[in-house]
Amino acid sequence: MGKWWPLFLSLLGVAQVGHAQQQPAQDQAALAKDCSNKVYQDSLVARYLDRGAHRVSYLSPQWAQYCDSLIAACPTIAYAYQQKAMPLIKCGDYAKAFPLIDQAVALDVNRWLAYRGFLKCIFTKDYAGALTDFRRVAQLKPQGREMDHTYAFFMGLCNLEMGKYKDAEADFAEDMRLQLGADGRGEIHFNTLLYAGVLALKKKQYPQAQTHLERCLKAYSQHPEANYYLALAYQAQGKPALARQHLAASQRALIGGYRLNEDNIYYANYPGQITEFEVIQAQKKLAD
Amino acid sequence: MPDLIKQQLQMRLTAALLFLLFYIPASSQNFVLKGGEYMDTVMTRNPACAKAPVAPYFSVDAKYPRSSETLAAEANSFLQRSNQHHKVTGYVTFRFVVDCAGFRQPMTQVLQTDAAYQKTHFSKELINELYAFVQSLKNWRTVTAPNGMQVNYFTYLTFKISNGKVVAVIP
Repeated sequence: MGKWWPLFLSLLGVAQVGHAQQQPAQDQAALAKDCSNKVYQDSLVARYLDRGAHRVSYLSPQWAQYCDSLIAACPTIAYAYQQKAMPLIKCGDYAKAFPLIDQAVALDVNRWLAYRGFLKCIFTKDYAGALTDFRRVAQLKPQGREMDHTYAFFMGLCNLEMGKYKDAEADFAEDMRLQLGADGRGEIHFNTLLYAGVLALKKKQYPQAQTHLERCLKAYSQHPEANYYLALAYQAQGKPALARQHLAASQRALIGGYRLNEDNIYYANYPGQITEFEVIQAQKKLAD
Repeated sequence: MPDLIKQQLQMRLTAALLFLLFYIPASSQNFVLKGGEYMDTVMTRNPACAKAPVAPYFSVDAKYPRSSETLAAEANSFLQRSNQHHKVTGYVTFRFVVDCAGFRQPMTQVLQTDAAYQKTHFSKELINELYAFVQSLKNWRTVTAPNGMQVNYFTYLTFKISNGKVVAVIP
């Protein structure tokens, strides 16, 4: 096992030191000229990322080396900085990751601003910072999406976590409006319904919480958090039998491997995400 | 000046310097190595896990089995015991390996940033208290690969601190 530890740490060392290829000044000037060419940029991405970094583990030191080579060849490709930052974020090294993400945003704000907001919201729980990014990108791309959700969804999460419930309510309403679409026939994502339910629960609007969470469970009956928070709503309304039933359903789902079903839950907990421990605590509280 | 008095003065001066060296609060970390700063550099080897493969926590679903809210509440209770107030804001991350039997290994790296993700150093007392909290966590998951082999894994815990209070624990 000992031999793996330096490899893990090498992520940092490589990211810091870099292995960028040094180019003579004349070549660099020529490259800088070519770097404005999209076809040339794509060819470099194919060379250093598609046929390079993406063929090794992103925990391998080679990953950062390929990214550095791409940056050295063409320092204006935002994707190179994002790719170099990604493993660092997943390993908790924010001091090295965020300057790279900031650089990606500076080079291509339309593509990476929402991503940075997402990282701040889900990974570093910097809700105020995430909100700033999402507000800005919502101006740039009102119909935009990040990680399968509208920007309003993440703004709702941020406001919910900051205790700004009125703003969160408006955000989730906007999120639902965007998902329903112009014809009103679109489907609402089950996690929009989950967080609308959690918000209502925090506001002690129990029947409303119940409505949202039951709708969530219609879409995804094993949803552990929806069952858990619905149990809390029932408990608050003096319905212990229903609360017990949904706590048991939540526990079964967690044991069975069901989760909140977002791509990044393996890297970082989403707000309000629970484990079996919290379910057991709620069951004990209910039994008292 | 007689030699005896000179010797006594030298001894007193040395004692005073030693006192200053060991008792003035320092902001440096336990071990500063080329690869980073460490709370502990001891590498232990559980013979039962020596041949176990090593994975990152996220590829084996091995986050600590408590919600972020539960861990933050427990961390705050733990910090309150020391009755010290650290009015600081930022992130403190501890990175380490959990072996295939579910034991956190002593070698632990520490990373610290301010709220804007710039490297910083908080007080040694705060870092030690947070590390003591990490050491108190005993429910690390054990992970079994699909082939039935048990797995060692790398993981980390980040404490997001706002005005001295733990407001979130990541991941």
